[in-house]
Amino acid sequence: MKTKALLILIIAASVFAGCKKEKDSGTVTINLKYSVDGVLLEFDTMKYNNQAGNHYSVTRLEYYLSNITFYKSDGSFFKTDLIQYVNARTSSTNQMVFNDIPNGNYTGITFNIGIDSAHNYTYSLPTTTENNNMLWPEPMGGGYHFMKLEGYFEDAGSTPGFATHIGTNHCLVNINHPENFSVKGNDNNLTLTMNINEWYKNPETYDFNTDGGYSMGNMMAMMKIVRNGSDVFNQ
Amino acid sequence: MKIKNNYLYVMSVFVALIVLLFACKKKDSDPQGNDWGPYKPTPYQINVPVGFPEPVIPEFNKMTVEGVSLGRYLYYDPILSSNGLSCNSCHIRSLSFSKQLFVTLAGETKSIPPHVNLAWNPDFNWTGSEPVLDNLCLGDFEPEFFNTNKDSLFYRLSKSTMYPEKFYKAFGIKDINQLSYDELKQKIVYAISQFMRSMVSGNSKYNNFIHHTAMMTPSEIRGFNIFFTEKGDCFHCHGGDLTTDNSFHNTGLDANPTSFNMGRYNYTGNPNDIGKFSTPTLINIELTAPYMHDGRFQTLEEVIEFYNSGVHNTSPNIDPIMTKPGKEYGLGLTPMEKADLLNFLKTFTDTSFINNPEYFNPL
Ligand code: HEC
Ligand code: HEC
Repeated sequence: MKTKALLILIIAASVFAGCKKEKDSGTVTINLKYSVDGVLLEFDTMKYNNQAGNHYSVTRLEYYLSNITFYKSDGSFFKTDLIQYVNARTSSTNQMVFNDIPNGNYTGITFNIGIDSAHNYTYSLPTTTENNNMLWPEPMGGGYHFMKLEGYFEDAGSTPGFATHIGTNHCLVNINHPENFSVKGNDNNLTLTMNINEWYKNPETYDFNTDGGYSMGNMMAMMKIVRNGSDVFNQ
Repeated sequence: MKIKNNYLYVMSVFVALIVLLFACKKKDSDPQGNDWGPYKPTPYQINVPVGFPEPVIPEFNKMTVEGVSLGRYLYYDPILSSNGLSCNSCHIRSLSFSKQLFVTLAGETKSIPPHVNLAWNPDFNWTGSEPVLDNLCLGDFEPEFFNTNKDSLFYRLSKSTMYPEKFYKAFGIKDINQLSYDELKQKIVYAISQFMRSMVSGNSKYNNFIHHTAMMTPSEIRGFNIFFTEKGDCFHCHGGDLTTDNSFHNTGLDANPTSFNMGRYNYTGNPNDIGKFSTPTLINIELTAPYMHDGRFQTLEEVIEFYNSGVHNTSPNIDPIMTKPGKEYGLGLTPMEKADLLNFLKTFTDTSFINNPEYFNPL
């Protein structure tokens, strides 16, 4: 009996101590959303207009996010090594949970759309069906598609498809997303919303008719998309 | 932990002994008194080729050596039908377990698909009308296929010299006759599905080439480059080790698809699916003529000519990959490029797959 009582005491004490000690890190959950100029994206409907005046729909949006780095107000940062495959149509891929983000006041996050050169080679990622479908063929440089954005646009009475694909190391998109939040051992939610139209404007207007509805293998077109892409999550 | 109560200790040993005694006395036998030993199936591990994703094996039908073996016998055995047909009548090994054509009762002509790497497929049939392999073949007992006679099936299986034991070893079933017809069909289909999941091809020249363990001829390499660049742009749908993205596309076979040609729409009713079909594997494509869901092309030359110059750009929901600018008039392949592409398509042939003794007719 005596030993039992002692045991209970020890357990209780340790639980108590555990509660008292404040956690020095918290959880940050990032949720990804999609819009076209402020209106939530709806797939498969011909109802959007980009800056060039192309009337278009979206049928597919897949991409990678990587090198997600959290910046504190004192200039220090916390870098994660996740490479996240995202399919806008599959909700489970649109949420990333980071445990153990150090406590502190944060001013923003940076990340890449795509995969940095250290990891952008064929079969560097686990061989899942999704990753394998994103492979960028060896004869075109190898690695993975950074993004596949596809749909249809209206062109003089017909509706050809467009396929905005980017890949190869030149085409890594750098995102700097200012946002103030603080982590104090708690759960935090951040929402990032990609404005599809931003791929096709700012700084350069992209026109499916003149720039090409199909960007893969067309470095000029891909670089234009990449330059436009740096603020897709900020507008 | 120290056991303080000696009485309890002695008692539990005693009880355990009695249980053991009964367990030993009880015989694992069928109604005829055959002794098959304990029901202890051996887990079956799929040999996943390098570069392949993990296969999709459902929790409810884990693979076992005994299950795969039973499935293999049943796959080849006309015992399941009342018309002499077996799976093997329409899925012939030398043709990568496919056959030319099948005309449905509804009058649709269908190309019979091969069985290769099915463990990686999320959807089955040309329109993806069946997402669960283990349910798919239940339809084969119907009059259109096996026209199975229930009583005769029970009689023949339970009187067989080997099936009662095989059902016991695979599923622990001591007496087939104790099952309902639905239960029996379900077990048959589970076993056959296990066998089909064990049919893995990762040894074509193509698979070995992309993993740097085989060489290709200069012509095959030129074809590879057409396939895997924007020139031919086949890779977006037929890429990777599995040569399929396991998705649905309209490649523009028909300007205005009707009936079976409406594809996945016939299954989902979604207008966005009109004309879309499941991307087929190209493994052993040389062996599986004729081509496309309705077998409209007799040769691979015809298929290449379709992609080169026959795509209907205005077909509803035509895949964006098919209508890229500059390709309005087709791929513009020269005769030599077409020959190179053809030679490359033949590198998808895996003779070690069709000649694998594990898939032979065991009967
Ligand atoms: C009379 C001919 C015939 C027989 C017999 C037959 N099949 Fe088939 N099988 C077909 C046809 C035709 C299709 C394509 C159906 C479709 O796409 O709508 C098919 C499709 C399949 C598929 C889907 C393959 C894929 O890649 O999507 C599987 C699996 C299959 N059959 C297994 C079996 C099994 C197992 C048996 C025996 C129990 C069997 N079949 C017997 C004609 C047959
Ligand atoms: C947009 C996706 C897509 C692209 C790009 C594509 N295919 Fe296909 N392919 C399909 C689909 C879907 C089918 C089945 C179509 C049907 O049966 O209606 C198919 C069928 C085939 C078949 C016949 C398969 C069989 O079992 O009958 C061959 C061979 C083939 N494709 C080769 C190619 C080649 C070569 C290229 C490049 C020139 C190519 N494909 C480009 C999606 C695609």
